Amino acid sequence: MREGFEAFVEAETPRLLGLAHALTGNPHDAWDLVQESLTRVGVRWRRLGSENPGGYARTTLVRLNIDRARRLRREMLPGTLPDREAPVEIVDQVDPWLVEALATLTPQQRAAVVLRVLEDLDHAGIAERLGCSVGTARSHLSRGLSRMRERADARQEVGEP
Amino acid sequence: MTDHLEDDLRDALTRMSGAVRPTVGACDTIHAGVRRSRRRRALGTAVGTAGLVVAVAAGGSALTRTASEQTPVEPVPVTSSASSASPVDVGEAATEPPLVCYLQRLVVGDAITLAELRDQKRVVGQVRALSSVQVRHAETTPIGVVALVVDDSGDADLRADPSVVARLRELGVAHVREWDPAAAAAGTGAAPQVRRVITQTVRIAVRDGQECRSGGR
Repeated sequence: MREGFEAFVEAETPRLLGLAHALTGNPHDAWDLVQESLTRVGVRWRRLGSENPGGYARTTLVRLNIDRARRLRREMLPGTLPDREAPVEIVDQVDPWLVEALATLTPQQRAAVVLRVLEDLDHAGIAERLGCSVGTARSHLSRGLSRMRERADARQEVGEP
Repeated sequence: MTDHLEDDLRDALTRMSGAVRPTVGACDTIHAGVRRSRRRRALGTAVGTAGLVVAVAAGGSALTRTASEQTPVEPVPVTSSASSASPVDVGEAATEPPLVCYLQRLVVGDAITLAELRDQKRVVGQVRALSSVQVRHAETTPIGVVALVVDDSGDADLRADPSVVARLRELGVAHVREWDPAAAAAGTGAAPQVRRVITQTVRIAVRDGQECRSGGR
């Protein structure tokens, strides 16, 4: 049982870290979210192990991030010093425009956009992860994409690549 | 990006999500987190149980007071029946009679009626026959049926799995703990482990009751 959970953690950590990074915009909060999500899976491993632990971990991660964003109401942009060390390394450059554009979305809109684009979820899937109705999820996604489109248009107008 | 926003976003977000990698294995950190979380949950459950016991004790105490006010009969000194109680119990008796009465009933066990005992024995028979949960030992006690279950998680945490607890609670088990193989190997068998559960439960109730009362004065 312990081996099964360890194998799950090893396999899922990089993917969850990527999702968390897209949701938070900084690797340190991403690492915290991954740890907390996997811990909650671990506590319930006997029940979840034979079901869908990956889905549970992703749902937990998305909702924890929304709670975190509500509490903090801020986001750390690239170049800002983290207040603690996290055992993660940045192996590729992240487009600053993308980070800033995502930071203009509400936590729910951002989660909806990321889940749609990165996880390829439909409205029902997004609603399940967010814990809201399908209509609300559709609204979050629509507004989020609309705002991203506005930012992209503004970027093109100033002639950025 | 406006024409193919989702496609462009997909490429950018995929790069962003692949831009960070863990530099260490997460297993040790996660296991430590799981143990901490289980301990917190165990503490919460214990506090809840203690609160329930205290509430029952306080209710019994209030009833006793009401009864004594209605019938002004000289109450029997609580220390008179404390011959089998431990020194701690006697000490409690000197200060908090109603609560001590309740504890003596718990420890001595004379509060269980024959009907309750029959029910508890029925529950013990049921849980011992379970194939889905490995019940190592189950026993009738003054605080209800105590079941010791076998843990196969390898975790040192002494709390039983929540799903197992829920299943046994459905059948009427009052207290579920994990069988302690280390204690058993050292000579602490089933009965002493059950006694330990009772002692822990009662001690927590006594402590919380004392805090509650001292705070209320």
